Amino acid sequence: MLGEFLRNLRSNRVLLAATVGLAVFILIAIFAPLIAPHDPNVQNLRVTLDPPSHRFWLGTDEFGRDLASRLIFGARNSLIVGLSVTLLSGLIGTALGIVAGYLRGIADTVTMRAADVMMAFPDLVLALGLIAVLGSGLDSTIIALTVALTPIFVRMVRSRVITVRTEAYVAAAKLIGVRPPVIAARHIMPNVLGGIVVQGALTFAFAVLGEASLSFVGLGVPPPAASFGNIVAEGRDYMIQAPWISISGGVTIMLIVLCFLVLADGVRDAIDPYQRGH
Amino acid sequence: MGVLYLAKRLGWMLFILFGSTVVIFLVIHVIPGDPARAMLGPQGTPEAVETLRRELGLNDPLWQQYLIWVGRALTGNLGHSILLSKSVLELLGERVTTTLLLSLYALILAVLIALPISVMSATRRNTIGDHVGRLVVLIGLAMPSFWFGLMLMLLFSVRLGWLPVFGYVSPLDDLGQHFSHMVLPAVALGSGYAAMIMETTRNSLVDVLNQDYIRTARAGGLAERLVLWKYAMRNALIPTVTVIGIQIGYLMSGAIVIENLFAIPGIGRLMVNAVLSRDYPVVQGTMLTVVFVFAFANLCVDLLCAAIDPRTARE
Repeated sequence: MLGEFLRNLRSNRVLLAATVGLAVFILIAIFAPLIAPHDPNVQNLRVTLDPPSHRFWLGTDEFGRDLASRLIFGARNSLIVGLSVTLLSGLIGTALGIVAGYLRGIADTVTMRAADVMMAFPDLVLALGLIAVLGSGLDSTIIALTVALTPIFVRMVRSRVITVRTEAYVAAAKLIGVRPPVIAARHIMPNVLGGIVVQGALTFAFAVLGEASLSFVGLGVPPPAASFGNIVAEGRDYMIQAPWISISGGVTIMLIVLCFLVLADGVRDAIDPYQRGH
Repeated sequence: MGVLYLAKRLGWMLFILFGSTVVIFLVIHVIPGDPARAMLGPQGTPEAVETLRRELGLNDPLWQQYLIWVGRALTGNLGHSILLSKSVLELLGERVTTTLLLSLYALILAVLIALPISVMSATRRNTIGDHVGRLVVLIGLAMPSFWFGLMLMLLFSVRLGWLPVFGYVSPLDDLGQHFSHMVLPAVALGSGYAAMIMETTRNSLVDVLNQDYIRTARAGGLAERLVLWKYAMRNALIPTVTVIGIQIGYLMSGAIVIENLFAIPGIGRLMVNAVLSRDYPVVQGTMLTVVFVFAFANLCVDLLCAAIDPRTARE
């Protein structure tokens, strides 16, 4: 899979651009304090709502805070939320999906009916219900989005496991007496992995969008912390004098999500070359 | 479409609704923390908390609390808003039509935009038009709807002054004003939805157009128009109808942010305000309403799919 992906990377310029874009995003998020030209939270009332300039690349907001620095630190919060949600829902979803798909029977029924019920809630509605109890904040955002995005993972992994477990090599492993956990780890996992990576990339994109939506309505990362949703929300009141605040926040979200969608497509092509250009 | 199929789908919907009441109940009651304490805030004295706990029945065993809550909900008693001194049912009743109308407009717009573009994309595969269409899909999926709404607002309301900036007018008061207030929210809400419909329809149409029966129809000399609209579309539309149904959930998630952006008094705005003020009865009521609408929409979609392709009902 990795080899095929790397080969695609060379021939597909869009995929290459998305991969580079994501690498840049991750590096910016990690090294935010070194890269940001200003402190993202320091107010300077002499330069409020300044247009983009040499000193402030993307201008300033209503408190005179440097917008570029806020976006750079916003990337950090976005990465924390995206990565945590993806890892958590990926781990939980994979574990449950493998158990349900491999054992079948009652374990499968219970898991899948529970997933169906969870999926009866639109993502953001379930997330908001949880935040009502947990209170808003970075941790609550991560927990709420994880709960909302895990059921899709469970369903995807389970259906792949069911396809793989009927393959001849799994039957052969069973016949020669390999224990179920070993079969799951060595024979089923590698063939489900591709799907997990694709779903992971999509989950990351949904988590970034989800965090932005929650922050936008004031229930995600609480201000004054920089987050993409907060930046768009803050810019909303100054749309006429300083449209660059909301515009730059939204464009950043869009670019990051776009990169993840393209990456998910690229990985899908690498797993299943027949679907390419479809 | 058999009665058996209808009964099965109805039974499934009832199961989902039952399950979702359990989830809604558990979210509020099992998560660590005391709802009574959270509702009263830091000013609440221990006595006041205890009184509220008794009023809400929080000292009873959990299953008993659940049964009481569901029993009341079934008779339309969803409790009282703590903040707005109105019954939850009354609050929901005032707002649910607004959200349904907004979602309906977004849905209609999305379908009207998505179908022609995806047909064009699928029939002229790998042309410039197809590439542009697919780029639009990607951007539509990646763009946060609330941000797109904000940009529409900036352009059409603030800069050009063609449309009202925000607010809501009931269709019963003034139909023209109603639509002029709903255009931008519906476009913003429908954009991502349209992208999903486009992606699905294009891919399924490409699949169908490659099948043998289409080749046979063409070989038999049928006009391309007839092949496409009569024979290919009928099969290609099933995934489309399914995605329209499943993604109604996406539409309702989107309505939450869009209603807040455009100050539209719907369920989404009610829910966000209830979450902000920890008005739990209202939070539960809005969750219940959304799940009900979503489940009902999915039931309709299942029946519609069975009508388009009777084979789906037999499986």
